[in-house]
Amino acid sequence: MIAPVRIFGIGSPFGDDRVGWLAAEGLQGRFDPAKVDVSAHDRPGLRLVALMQGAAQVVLVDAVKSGAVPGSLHRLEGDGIVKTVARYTSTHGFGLAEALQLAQRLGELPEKIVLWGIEVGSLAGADDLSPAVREALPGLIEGVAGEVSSG
Amino acid sequence: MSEPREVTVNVPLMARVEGEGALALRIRDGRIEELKLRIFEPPRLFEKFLEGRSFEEVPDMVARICGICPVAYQMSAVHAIESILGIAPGPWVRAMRRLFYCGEWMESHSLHIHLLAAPDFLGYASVTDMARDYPEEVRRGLRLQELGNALIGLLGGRSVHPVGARVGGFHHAPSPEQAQALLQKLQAALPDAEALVAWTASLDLPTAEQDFEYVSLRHAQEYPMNEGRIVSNRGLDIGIDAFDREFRELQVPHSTALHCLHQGQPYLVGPLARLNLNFDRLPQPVRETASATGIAWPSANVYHSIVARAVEIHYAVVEAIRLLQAYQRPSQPYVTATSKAGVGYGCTEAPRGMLWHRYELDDGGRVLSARIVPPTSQNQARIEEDLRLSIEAFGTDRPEEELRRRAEVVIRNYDPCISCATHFLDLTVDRK
Repeated sequence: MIAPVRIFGIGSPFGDDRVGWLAAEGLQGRFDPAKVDVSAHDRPGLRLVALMQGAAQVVLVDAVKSGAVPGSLHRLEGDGIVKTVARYTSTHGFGLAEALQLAQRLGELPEKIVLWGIEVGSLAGADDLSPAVREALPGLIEGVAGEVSSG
Repeated sequence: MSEPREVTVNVPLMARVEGEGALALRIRDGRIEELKLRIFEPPRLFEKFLEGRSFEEVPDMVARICGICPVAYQMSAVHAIESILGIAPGPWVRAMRRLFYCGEWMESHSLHIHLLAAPDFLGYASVTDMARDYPEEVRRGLRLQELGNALIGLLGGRSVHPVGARVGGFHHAPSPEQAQALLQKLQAALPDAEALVAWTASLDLPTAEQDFEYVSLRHAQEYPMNEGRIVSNRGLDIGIDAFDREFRELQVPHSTALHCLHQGQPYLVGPLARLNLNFDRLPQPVRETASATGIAWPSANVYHSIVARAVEIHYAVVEAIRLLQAYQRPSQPYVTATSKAGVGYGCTEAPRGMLWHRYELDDGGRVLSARIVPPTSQNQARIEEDLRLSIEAFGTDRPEEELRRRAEVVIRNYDPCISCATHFLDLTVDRK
């Protein structure tokens, strides 16, 4: 992976947790692939450190649970992500927060890093997004696209 | 003292998904009266989801069972289905399936060594803490993991839509240039892999010599991945279709997972079992590195599992180099198949151990029934047995916090499904 700007849609195949993938899908083909790479990942955990390696700018898109209304969008930047994410998400084990902390510890956190989070409801085995999250998806996609075009 | 105490430290099992795992201990007069490990297991749900699906859909569906080892689920499934359809995909597909598996072993084992096991043995709460003092070791682990991912990616496996494997072979064949580029990276990674073996063996590993049966595949010539007979250190030697005659899955009331027993007894699957039973199938350079650790293989110390994982990473690098050196692009990366009714079995060596599948298809190639016996459920009774021995040896009168930490180390050593293992344990101690 050589593109200097990388957008990662993070999720799992469980209900609203797929929203990060759908955002990545919606962003495919909108940028010059030599400059901006868009990819989707299934619970990358520790892999995120390697995926971010050498990037100038990284935009992470992930489902979050913070108690806000489902469909609410969150935007976090730089250090704020590492500090906030642990209590934002209800994910356990080696998740986003730990991967970012490890990257930071190794001195490999990209200079520009932004997390777009979307508040989700149930992560039960349903295949479809909940209506609130589906409705918020276009806004999420535009928000993420704006990160890149605004340079 | 006979004061009953209860401690609850909540950590769910499946990251991002409902489900919990927990350990309940009942201690009476310093003896463990009851010990129950509960592990949430997604494969059980998938068995039902598969019913009614076309055989062509199965590889993609089962790949979603585990975010860490989609290749293993695909491999057991395609072998089972191909045995029903009566097709033989030939030497190219066979070689590429080994390559695919090399990638997954490298990825999964690197993850376990660095994320879970090494922090335990070096006394850190997490790999992030460990990285402060061991940044180069962590970087090496990340490199090996990423290389494993690159191998899986070479054959088209992607984490979100695992499109790499299909019944009959692969969807796409990599170009010779892609294969060549990866070959160079693998050759450059050999020193990393060798150093990793020595490093894991230099850790201050506990000694827990226990008498137990270990089970794995064994192949006439190769270190086992996709094919072989099921063998053990106690003389078991059967074809994969005879699994049901020897092994029995039991529903235990305290867990959604089934326990699997061999003739009523717990047994071990996974890297240590494989290495113990197949040391002679390793190529010489890998045997030499493994022997240079000073460990006498086969080993009955379950904590040598971390070293066995490192040896298998070394093997995977060596084997992937061999396979890619001979790489040629085929005219077609798969053979086609037509529907056929029947029953078939697939058993391959997932990173965590033997993964057994059984499918029954109807005339139209639809799944009538599916059974999946994952390594974690096979190891579960063995983990319980080990916990019992380890905690009694450790001292049942220790404070809950120490018991919990000890139990976590014991459980993590078996590398139960990653989502099950990264978390702290929800431990309930009941003392009277």
